[in-house]
Amino acid sequence: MRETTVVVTGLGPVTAIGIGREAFWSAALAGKSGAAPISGFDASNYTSRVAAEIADFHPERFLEPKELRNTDRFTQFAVAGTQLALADAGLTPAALAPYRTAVVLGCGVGGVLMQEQALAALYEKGPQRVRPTSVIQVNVSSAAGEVALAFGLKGPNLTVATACSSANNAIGIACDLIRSGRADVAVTGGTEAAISPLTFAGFACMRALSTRNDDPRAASRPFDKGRDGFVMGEGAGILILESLEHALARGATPYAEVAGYATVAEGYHMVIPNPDGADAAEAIRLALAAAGAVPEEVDYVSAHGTSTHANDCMETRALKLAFGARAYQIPVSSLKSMLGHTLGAAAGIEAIACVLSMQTGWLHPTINYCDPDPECDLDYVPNQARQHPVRVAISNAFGFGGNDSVLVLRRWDKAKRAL
Amino acid sequence: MTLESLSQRVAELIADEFQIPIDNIHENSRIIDDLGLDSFGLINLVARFEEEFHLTLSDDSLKAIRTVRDAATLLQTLIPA
Repeated sequence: MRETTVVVTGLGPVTAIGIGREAFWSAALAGKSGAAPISGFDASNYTSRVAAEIADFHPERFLEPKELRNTDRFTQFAVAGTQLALADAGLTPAALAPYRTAVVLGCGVGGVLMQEQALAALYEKGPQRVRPTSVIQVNVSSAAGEVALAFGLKGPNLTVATACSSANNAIGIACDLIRSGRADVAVTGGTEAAISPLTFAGFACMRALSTRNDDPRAASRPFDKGRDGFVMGEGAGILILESLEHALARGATPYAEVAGYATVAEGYHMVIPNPDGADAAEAIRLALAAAGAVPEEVDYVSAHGTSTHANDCMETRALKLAFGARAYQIPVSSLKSMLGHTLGAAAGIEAIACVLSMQTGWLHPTINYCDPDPECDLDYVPNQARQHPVRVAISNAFGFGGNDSVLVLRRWDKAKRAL
Repeated sequence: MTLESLSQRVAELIADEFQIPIDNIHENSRIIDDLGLDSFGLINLVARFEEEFHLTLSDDSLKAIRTVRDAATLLQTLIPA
């Protein structure tokens, strides 16, 4: 029996540089930075005071009034992204078979904004003053639950929490659910809203964040020699996956095929990636094998590219291990140069970018690339978008805990598939 | 506080908490049936009352709250004169 083909039919990016497919992609190709001085809280006594926040997110456009106060920002992003992705796919909730529609979302941190408010109330006013519904939003799975509630989607409802690789694993598992016949359609990707005083302090004290406070837009500079850490971002990247049969039966034109994915655990260190890149390279090899693709077919790499010394050097080594000399011929770009690191949402937004590269034949650049690092010597698509046909792309995501997850996407070629 | 001014304050809290236009909230508005709150909404509203008026509402007393005026009446009995 032929394996079920799983295709991407809808895209819902909620990002600091644009909300919705067209706004996001035109900003990404223009190399727009979403970074700015932090506005969400007073960061004046923090070493790092830069983040890529979504300044123009209006939750009331996506949620009912009574849900606004009961939902954390990461849940609101997920609902907004789902609404955009369903519309982009030409689907209405009423057209979906409820129990055949899965929701599989990646999220690293969860409802930390509400949690911190609740903690402040607990410490300042006592246990009687904790907002009752905050305990629900602390739960990392509340975004997927709210999506099910908002759109009446009753199929498997899962949340995948593997830190910064969460969304790649979510997309992979959503694909598996469709392939195994447990669902026809899946809402998947990732969401995160963790630019909170506590989370930010933790990353800052770890010295993982850029302290280029005087020039926020230049702070995230993956693969550039002058990089000094990542910039925290927030957002959601939601995709609609369908079995090919389901998509064609309703007359939809797929964007791309989810060809395969793989995930490995480094078992090396909680936050420092294995510097030799061997584990990440193995994840790339396994993902290509799962996709039935060979390294020679890969036209583009969406990098994890965090702008930290440890990641960027390791990732460059991993690509050389996986692709050999061809690594120098494959364009590699990092969306995090513009959006910062959106943690559990990152791989969802990056998968959307890969799909749009296939659709449009354009690669977004890695911005702020000025000073080459001898340890990072691949083609990072510096500063300018580039016209480049993409048939097969890989999207890397490497999370704290040593979770390396790689997704392989293949352009949907209608003519070829008709044969 | 008079019942009238308490009803007005309850309406203001509901308007703020649930983003409902204040003009849509009347003394006789039923909190669940007319204003669209669900059980989560009600429990959050009670938390707002407790914070605003520095008191604790028992589970039983909540059952008496159907309308804005019911809430104001209950609060009037509990707020120290």
